[in-house]
Amino acid sequence: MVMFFFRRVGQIFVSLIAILIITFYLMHAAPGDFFNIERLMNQQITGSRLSQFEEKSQTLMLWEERYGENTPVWEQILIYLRHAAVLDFGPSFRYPDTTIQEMMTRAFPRTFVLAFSPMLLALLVGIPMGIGAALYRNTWIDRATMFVSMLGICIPSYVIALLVIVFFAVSLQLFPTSGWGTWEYAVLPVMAMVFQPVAGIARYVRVSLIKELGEDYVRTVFSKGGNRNKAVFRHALRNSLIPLLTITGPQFANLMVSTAFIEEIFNIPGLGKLFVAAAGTRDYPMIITSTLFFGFLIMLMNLLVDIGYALIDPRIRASYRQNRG
Amino acid sequence: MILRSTDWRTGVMFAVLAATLFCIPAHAGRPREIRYIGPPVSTLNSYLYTGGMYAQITLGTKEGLVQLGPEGGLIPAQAERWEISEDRLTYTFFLRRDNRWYDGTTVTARDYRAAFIYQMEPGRESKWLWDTPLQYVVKAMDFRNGAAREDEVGVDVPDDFTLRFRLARPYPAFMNAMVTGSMFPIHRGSLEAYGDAWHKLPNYQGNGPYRIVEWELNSHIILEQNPKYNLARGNLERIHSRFAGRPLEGYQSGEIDFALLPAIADIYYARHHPDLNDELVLTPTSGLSFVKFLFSKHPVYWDARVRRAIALGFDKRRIVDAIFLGRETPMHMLSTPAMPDWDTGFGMRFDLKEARRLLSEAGYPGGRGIPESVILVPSYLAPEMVSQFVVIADMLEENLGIRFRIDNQELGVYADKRVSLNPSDYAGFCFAASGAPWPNPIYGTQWIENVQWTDDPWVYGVWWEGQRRILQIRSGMIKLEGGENLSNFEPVRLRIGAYADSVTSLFANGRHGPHLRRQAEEAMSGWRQTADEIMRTAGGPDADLEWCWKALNVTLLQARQYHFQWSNTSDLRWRLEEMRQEAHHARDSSRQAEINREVHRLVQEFSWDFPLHVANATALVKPYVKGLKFCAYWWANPMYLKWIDIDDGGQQL
Repeated sequence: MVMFFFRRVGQIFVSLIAILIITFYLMHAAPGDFFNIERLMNQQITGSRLSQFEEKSQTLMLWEERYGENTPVWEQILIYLRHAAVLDFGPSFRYPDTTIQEMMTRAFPRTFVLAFSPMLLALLVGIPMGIGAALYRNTWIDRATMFVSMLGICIPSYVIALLVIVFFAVSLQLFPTSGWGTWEYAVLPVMAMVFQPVAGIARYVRVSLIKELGEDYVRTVFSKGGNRNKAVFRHALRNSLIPLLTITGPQFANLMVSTAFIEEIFNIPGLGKLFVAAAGTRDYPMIITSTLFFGFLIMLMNLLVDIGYALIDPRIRASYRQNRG
Repeated sequence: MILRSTDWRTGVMFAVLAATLFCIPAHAGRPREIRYIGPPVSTLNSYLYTGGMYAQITLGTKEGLVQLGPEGGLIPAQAERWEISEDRLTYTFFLRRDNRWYDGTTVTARDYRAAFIYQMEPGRESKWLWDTPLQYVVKAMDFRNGAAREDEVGVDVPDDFTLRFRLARPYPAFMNAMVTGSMFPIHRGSLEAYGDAWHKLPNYQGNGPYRIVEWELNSHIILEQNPKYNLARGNLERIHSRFAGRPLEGYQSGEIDFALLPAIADIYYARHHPDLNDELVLTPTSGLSFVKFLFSKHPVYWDARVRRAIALGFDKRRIVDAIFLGRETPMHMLSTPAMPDWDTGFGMRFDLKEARRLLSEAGYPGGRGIPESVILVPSYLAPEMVSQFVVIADMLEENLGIRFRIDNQELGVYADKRVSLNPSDYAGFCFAASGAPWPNPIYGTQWIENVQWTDDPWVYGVWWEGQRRILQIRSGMIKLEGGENLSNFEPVRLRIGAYADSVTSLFANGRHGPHLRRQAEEAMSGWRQTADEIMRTAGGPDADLEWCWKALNVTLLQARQYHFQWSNTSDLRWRLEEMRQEAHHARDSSRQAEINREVHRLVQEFSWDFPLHVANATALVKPYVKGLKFCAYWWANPMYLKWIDIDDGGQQL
């Protein structure tokens, strides 16, 4: 188990290096640069007929101070890694007054709340829905549950976001349309995000439970005249929830990444908003760090799922041991 | 009936839920506050432009010597009065003695001088440099280039409450430009104590009507009245500006008190809404949309007649009426109604007959021979802005027989293609937009920059490559060979001197008038001085020879570019430059307007840019917000909020 853990951590490290190299090279290869864009936007606001080649900006000087002038890309990557090892990501182009780690530290809790709340709600709502649908298979309860969950899967969160804004904020004036602060601000964004994971979990639990209910050990319980609730909740459900762990980890990472849409719609100063703006304006330092962060997050979630799997399922633990052997 | 235990629990739960939900929108006890969605404040440093500018000008955390008044004209702010010398070269401001920083210390003329020196320091980033009035101040640019000392700069402080600017040459827009963020004072104590962190909270010191209570990057800023402020203001106690959000929905739900509506769909909705229609306010702005021809190796659009034919070949009025529902006003000249020289009497109006004639004259009758062209648009544009180009493309095909395709590109790609010399299969024009920060009496002459000074792609290409090389050297993309020892420096310095002599000789015959001659002499003497200064630095004991070598070579390239540009200039360029100089020096505003009109006429004749329309700011404003005026200059921003009154009928909202 310990070996497995270290092997996975090693894989994560190698993958992060690969992501870093690809990001650095792609970033340099992509057309457009931060300074050109910034100049253009300033010109559009102020009407300045500025020369395209005015003095070198302070922002660029900060970049050079960190990475040196005329430094090859591979060397820049090494410099980045050296700083990243001590969690020093430097300032971004767009916000030269603040370091990236400061901005991310402020933004992370918001994005975490935005991703964690729908996940929690999805588990609380999706599991009972799935159980109901499985127990009342092929009845109107099953069909209604699956219809609702199909809608949840098909309608993107940004469409739901607009619907909840119109209904709960504009018509009923119950919650604010945008911003971040007290708990009321989180209600509509969470509502917009919760449908998809609820639907996914409900469908997963349904399929998994139906499969378990058809297994021999459940049939044995029934044939011996065992209690139906006991058979379902103590035996079948417990086993059917183990594979659920497989999707909750990646689902959570996916929610963290997909908050970008919701943060933009509801004007929430989270990680997604920072990262989307960085990509649009070619804010290189922020792009690199954000790509690395989300890459790390997804891999971390997968690792946790694997570890969790091993902890709750002895068969998996045994297979890890076997692989090592 | 006896309640079972589960029933009363359910009842309590519903009661709590209902109470929570219905308490949320309550307004009781709110101060006189204005809440709205404003531009994002990314820094409180006004010299770094957008964010700082917005916080300091519109929100009023800082205040300068003069301001644009509620009716648009210039009014005194922290200067009680001012005197302008007869030759327009000396401006003396007499400051109010009761203006205080947040910490209670008095704002003095030394704080203004410190701000100007701070911005002009060599290597200091200042987004205002492009148009700051400081560049006209004696020795200011030399100081910036490291060729003059700080005490040589023409900003004098005879006493704590008198500030004097000495200009190198007259600049008609000097007073109007004083409203910009570059002319605000800086708290010297903060600068000394915190260095570059002077503008970070809580170090930040302002002298305006409001102080910052809370600021969250990418989220919002909250301000309250500054109790130490010395001038009259409205009864507004608190300002809450969010940096993004949904204006229409926010306004309808009562979260914000006014909303700028950028989307046509929202304007349409508000206009047809029985309640909202009465709260709609429309104000012209200086936000101009225009098209800019792309530089391509294909020669077709190097011909001014073809460019002009396209500009005359489609009906802007139809586009504005059909697509923009009145939010935009069609424009026929490259200036806006907000500018003093605006004139409806002339411009490039839809004229199909003339457009077809020009096209035939250029050798493309009925558009034959012109390859399929592109209309480059950035992907951030609103749908209606993109739609107009679809309509324009249709009109041009129908009217002139030229086929266009829309190339909708991501911002970075768009920005690159807009300034590059594109391959021969990529010719056409792109969307462009521009605003104006203040009513500039010589605004029109700025457009001279957009008239290419050559119609020869080869000359243009050589000049462009030179510019690119300067940038590459400056940014360190190209490593220069040589410069290891001082003996390499002298030949370069001599070459700079040779270019300077050559440029001066171009103007020697007096054909181009005294102004251009003086401009050239100033530029050339500047480069000579810079070269001398670099040589002195290089000869010093702790000299960074690599830096000096780079600086000297950049100076050489600049001198060479200047020489190249002027020795290849067309007659039109000479004429326009001369007129611009005359406008700069003219004291009579009617003469300036006359020059501006003539410049516009010439620019339209040869320009690579053609006007489309000017934006009107459309906003919803709650009836209790009084005194909110939308400024025509800062695009779609409200002007100073300090004049706002909240009409609460004697009660707090």
